[in-house]
Amino acid sequence: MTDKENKPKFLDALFKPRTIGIYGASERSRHFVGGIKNQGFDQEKLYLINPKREELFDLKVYKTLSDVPEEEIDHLIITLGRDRLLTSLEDIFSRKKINTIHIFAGSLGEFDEEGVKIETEIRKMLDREDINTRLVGPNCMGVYAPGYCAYMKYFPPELGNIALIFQSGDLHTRFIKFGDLRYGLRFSRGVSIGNTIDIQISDVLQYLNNEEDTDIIGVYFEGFSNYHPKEGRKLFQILKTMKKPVLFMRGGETERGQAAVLTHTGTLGTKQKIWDAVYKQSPIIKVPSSLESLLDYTYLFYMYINKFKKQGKKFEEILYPKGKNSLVILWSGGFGILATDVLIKLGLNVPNFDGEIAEKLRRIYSIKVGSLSNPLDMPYIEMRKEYLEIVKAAISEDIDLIIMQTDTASNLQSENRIGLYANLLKIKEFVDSQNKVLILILYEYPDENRKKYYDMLTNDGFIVYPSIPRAVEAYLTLYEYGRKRNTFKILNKS
Amino acid sequence: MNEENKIISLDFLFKPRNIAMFVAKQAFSFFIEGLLAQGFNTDNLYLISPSEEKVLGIKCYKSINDIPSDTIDLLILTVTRNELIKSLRNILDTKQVNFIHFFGARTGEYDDIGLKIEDQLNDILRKEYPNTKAIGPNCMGVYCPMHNSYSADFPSEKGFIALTFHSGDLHSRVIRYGLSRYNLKFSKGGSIGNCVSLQVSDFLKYFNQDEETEIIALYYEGFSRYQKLEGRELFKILKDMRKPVLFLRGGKSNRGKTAVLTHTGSLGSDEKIWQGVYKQTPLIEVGSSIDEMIDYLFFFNNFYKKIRGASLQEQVNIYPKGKNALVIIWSGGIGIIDTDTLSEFGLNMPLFDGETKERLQNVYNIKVGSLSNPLDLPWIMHRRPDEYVALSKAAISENIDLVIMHTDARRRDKKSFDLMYDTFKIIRDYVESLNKIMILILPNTPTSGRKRYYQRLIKDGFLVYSDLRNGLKAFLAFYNHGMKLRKMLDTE
Repeated sequence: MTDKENKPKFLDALFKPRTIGIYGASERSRHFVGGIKNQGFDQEKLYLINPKREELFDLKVYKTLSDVPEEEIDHLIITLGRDRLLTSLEDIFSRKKINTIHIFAGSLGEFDEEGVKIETEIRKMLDREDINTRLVGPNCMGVYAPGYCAYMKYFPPELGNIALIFQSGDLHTRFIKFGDLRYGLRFSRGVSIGNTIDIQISDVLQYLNNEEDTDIIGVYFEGFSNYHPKEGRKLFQILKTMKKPVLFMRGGETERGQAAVLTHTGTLGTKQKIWDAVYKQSPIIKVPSSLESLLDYTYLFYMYINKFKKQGKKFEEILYPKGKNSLVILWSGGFGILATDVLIKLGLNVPNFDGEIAEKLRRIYSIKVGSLSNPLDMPYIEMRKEYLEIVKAAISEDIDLIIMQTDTASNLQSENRIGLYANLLKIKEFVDSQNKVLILILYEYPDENRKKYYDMLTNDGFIVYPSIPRAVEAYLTLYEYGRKRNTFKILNKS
Repeated sequence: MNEENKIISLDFLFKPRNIAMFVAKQAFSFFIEGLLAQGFNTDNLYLISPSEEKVLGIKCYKSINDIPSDTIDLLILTVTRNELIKSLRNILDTKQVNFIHFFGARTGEYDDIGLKIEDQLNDILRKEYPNTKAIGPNCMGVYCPMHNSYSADFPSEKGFIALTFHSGDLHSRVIRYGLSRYNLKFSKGGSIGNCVSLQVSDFLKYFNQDEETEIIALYYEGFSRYQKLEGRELFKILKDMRKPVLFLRGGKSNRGKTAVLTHTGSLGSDEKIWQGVYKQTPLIEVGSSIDEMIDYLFFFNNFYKKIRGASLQEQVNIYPKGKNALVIIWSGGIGIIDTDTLSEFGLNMPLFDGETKERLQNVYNIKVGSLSNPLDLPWIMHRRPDEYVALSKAAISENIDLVIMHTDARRRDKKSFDLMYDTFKIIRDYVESLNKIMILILPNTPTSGRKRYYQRLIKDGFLVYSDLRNGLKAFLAFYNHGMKLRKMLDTE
C-alpha cells in the first residue's frame, strides 16, 4: 500500500481527469452531469454507464464499462446505494483500469454494523495486488475541479487559487456557493472526502503543497478512519511542513460535538489537547466551528494574496502584516467608539494621534465638526481633496490596518458621491502601495442600493465586511499566519 | 436634582402639538422632510428665518414674535454655538417652550469654549426656566411614528420598541437596519446627545410607564457633567425597570473612553461597576455592536408581539426555563459544527437514547441520516413530509427549549418550495404552541432570490438569523432576562 501512496499521480487523475465515468447513471445523476458539463469538460470524454438506459441528459449511455472506448478511466463516480457497492466494484475492476473512484453512497461506516462490514470489504478489495485504484469516500459529494469536474451545476468553472478538503459534502458545497456569491471566491481544487477509507486528508494536503494553482487551503476535519491508524501522525508531519496557509476547522471540538461526528462520518476524533499542540507546532491556522468564520478568513487571505500576485509577485514574496496598529476612519458618530471598543477587545491597537501627527493633520485642514484623532471622524468633507490628504497623512508608517466605515446612498452618481468614491479609490491605491490592509465596513441589510454599492466596491477590488468584529477577526488571522511563517521559518525566497 | 423621583412627561417632546424651527434653511430640510413623512400638519410647523421666504414650500416667519402661538411644544434650535445663548434667551423671553432640541455640535465634546456654552445652557434652563426641558446639544433629535422624525425614511407604522441613544448616527442605523432586516417598528426614539438638561434616566422612567413601549434599547456613552447623581439615579431606575432594557455601552475599553470624549464628551465609568449593575438590574448587556443590538431587539420583539399586555407573572411563565436545544438538519457537517457552537455557547443538546430513540424509531425508521440530536433527516422532508413532521414533533420533547433548523435560498420548483415552507410553518407553529422557540438559519447571500425568501419568512413571523451564533446570542440574552425576572418576582 505504501508503494501506491508514494505515487501522487492519482491525484492528478482525480483533479485533472482526462476521462470521467458515472457508474449507475440515472435521472438522479443530474447534479453530477450538469456540474461536469458546466465546467466545460469535453462531453465526449464523459461516459455514463447503466445497462438499463439508452440515453440520459442528451448523452449516450453505455451498457457496461467494457463498451466504453477507453483504455482506462481517470475518475469514476459510483452513484449506487450501499447494497450494490460490492458487486459493482467487482464488475468495475474486472472490466477496466480505473485510476480513481468516488463512492457517493452513505449509510456505511457512520451508520450501522452492516455499513462497517461493507466498508471493510471495499478496503480489502482496494488492498488487492491486482487493483491499482484510489478511492474518495464513501459518504461524500466528491470532487470539484474547475474546468473538469463538479457535482453541482452552479460551481464556477473559472480556475482560482483556493483549495478545499472537507469531511462534509454539505459544508463543502455551502462554502463554494457562499464564497462565490458573497465574495467572488474562486477555487483550484475541492474535495468532499467523506469517511476516508482510502484517500487521506494528508495525501491531498501533500499534493496541494507542491502544486502550482493553489495558494490557500481550507480544511474541514472530523476524524480519522479506522483503516489508517498512522494517519494522525502523518497528517501532523505534513501540517508542519505546509508552505501555504492552511485554514483548519475541526468539527467535534467539543465532547458533545464528538458524539455527533460518530453518526456523520463515523471517523475517530482526537482529544482537544492533541489539537492544541498541533496548532502550536505547525503553521496551520485554527478556525472556530463556524462556516461563516472560515469564509470570512479565506476571503481576506484570498484578497491579500491576490493583490501581491497581481503585482507580479511570487507566492514566496508575499509580505504578511507585521503589526496590529489600526486606524479607524468614519463618517461621524458612535461607530468610532464601538469600533474602538471592539478593536481593543479583540487585541488590536488604536494608536492615539498626538504631537506631530495631530499637528500635521490640523495643518492640512482644521475641521469644524468631527475629530482629527483616531478614530478619524470627518463628516461632510469626504468628497474633498483635503479628506484624501488627511487620510494619507494619518496612515503613518506604524499603521498596519485601516478600517473605514462606508455607506450607500440613494443616488450613487451625485457629485458628492463621485468625489467620495474617487477618494476611496485613491486611498485604496495608497494603502496597497504600502502593504497595509484596507477594509471597508458596509452594514448588511436587504436593499437594492446596498447591493449595487457592494457590487461596485467588490468589482473595484475593495475588501468589504459587513461588521467590524468579522473584519477584525479575519485580519488577526492573517496577522497570526504572518507571525507563524516567521516562527516556522517558512522563508521567503526573495 | 431634588426631583429625583419625578417622572417628567415627555409626551409633548415625542408628540408635539406644534414645532418651531429656528433658524430654518435648506440645509436643515431633512427635519421638515422627516416631519412630513410622519404626516405632521404643516399648519403647526413654524419655520423661522430672517432671510428665507419659504423652505420646501413652507412659509417662513421673520422672527419668533411672528408665530401665531404663545406656547411651543418643541423648539428645534439649529443655530451655531456662537448664537446659541442669545437665541435661546430671546425665544424663552417671548414664548412658553416645553421642549428644546439643541441640534448644533462643537459644544462640550469639542473644546473649552463649547464646555462653557453648555454650562450656560444648563444654568439658564435650570435656574430661569425650570419648566423647559431640552435634549442635546450635539444630537439628531426625536422620532415618533405618526408624529415626529428627523429623517424621511423612518417608518410611520408604530411598534413598541423605544430607543434612547447617545449617538444620532447609531440611532438612525438601528431604526433603518431594524426595519430593513427584521421589519422592526418603534414606539419612540431619541438621539439625546450631550444631555445638558434631560438625562438618560428621565427617558427610562418615562418609557417604563409608557403604554406604547414594551422594550427599551439604550446606547450609552457616559454620564453628563450636569447630573452629579445621575449614576445613582440611573442605577435606581434601572433596578425598578420591569421592561427589558437592551444596553449597549460605548467606551467599554479605556481606549474607547478617550474616543467618547471627542464624541459626546460624557464621562465614562469602570467596567467593573457595570458588571455589578448587570447583575442587580434587568439590564441586558449587548456586546459592542449595533448588529447584536438589532439581533436582540428582533428576538424580544418577536416574543412581546405575542404577549403584549401580559402581566410580569405571565411573561415569566413562558420565558424559556432551560437551555436545551434540538438541531434538525438536512444532513451533514453543519450538524457537527452546530453542536460545537451550541456547546461553546453553553447550551445543552440532549442525546436521544433509550426510550426517546425507540419512540422516534417507532414513528419512522429512517434509512439514511440519524435519529439523534442533531436530528439528521436527509431527503425525508420531500419524500415523506408527514413522517418528517411526525419525527420532528416527536423529537421536540418536553425538555427541549430551543429548536434550530437550517434553510437556504437554493432555487426550487414551486411544489418543493411550498412543501418545504409549509413544513417549516407546521413545525414552527407546533413549537410555539408549546411556548418553545424555533430559530431558522438562512445564510446571507447577495441574491434577489435570497432576499425574497428572507422577506417572506420575516413577514410570516419566523425568527430568522443569518448566522447561528447571532441567533444563539439573542436566545441567551432572552433566556437570561427571563431568569432574572423570575428571581425578581420571587423576592418581591
